[in-house]
Amino acid sequence: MTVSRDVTAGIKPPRAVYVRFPFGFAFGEPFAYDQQLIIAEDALAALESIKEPGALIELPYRWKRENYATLRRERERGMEAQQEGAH
Amino acid sequence: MFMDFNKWIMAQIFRGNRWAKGKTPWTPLPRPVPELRLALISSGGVYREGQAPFDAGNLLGDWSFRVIPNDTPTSALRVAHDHYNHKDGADKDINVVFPLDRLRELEARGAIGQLSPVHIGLMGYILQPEKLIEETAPQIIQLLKETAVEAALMVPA
Repeated sequence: MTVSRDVTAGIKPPRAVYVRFPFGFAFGEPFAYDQQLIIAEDALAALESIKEPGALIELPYRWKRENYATLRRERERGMEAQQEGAH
Repeated sequence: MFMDFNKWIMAQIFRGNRWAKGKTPWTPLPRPVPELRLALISSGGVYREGQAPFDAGNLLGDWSFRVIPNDTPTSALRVAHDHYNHKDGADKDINVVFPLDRLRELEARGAIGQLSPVHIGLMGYILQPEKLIEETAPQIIQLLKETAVEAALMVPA
């Protein structure tokens, strides 16, 4: 994870996920359960999706200007639909 | 003299990129994340109650690390780091720099295979990166290999 895109782009770690959040808040705000969980899920997804050494994925979230509870509900509905489709 | 010292400190901070001239290393993921053993590594100055805090006031930084057992309650985690705002964030909820509660929930849901028995706390203000690279990192790597960790989520302050 990184909150400093330029620094990370210079260092080029094997897999990087950038989020435009303040320094010291890479997973969001205190007690913002939905926000923290979404960032954690996206960070883990990058472990599988990044295939090129040194790639940097930029997350789209705009700090406080997102409805993370809605985003998470939509994501869970999507997962359920996928599971039902697989059955 | 004081100005010169400040300049020196800034030069130390911005020389980090000189360590990045080599080729980016690459280890393919050995198995999908829902089967993977994962460790959490934070440079946010996280340590466990009862451990020695990081030497946050040291101008040269502190390149030591703390081993945080996976069964540590997040209420027992503390922050020693003088170079970011943890008063309004990590001091209230450590998950903003050390999302152990969220990872536990993902593990319980089967989205992560297994969390490592140990996680790692570092203090990111280190003006002697040689010490981190030559002393600290090899110890952390050895420890994580011994616990069969396959991937690490690294979180900055």
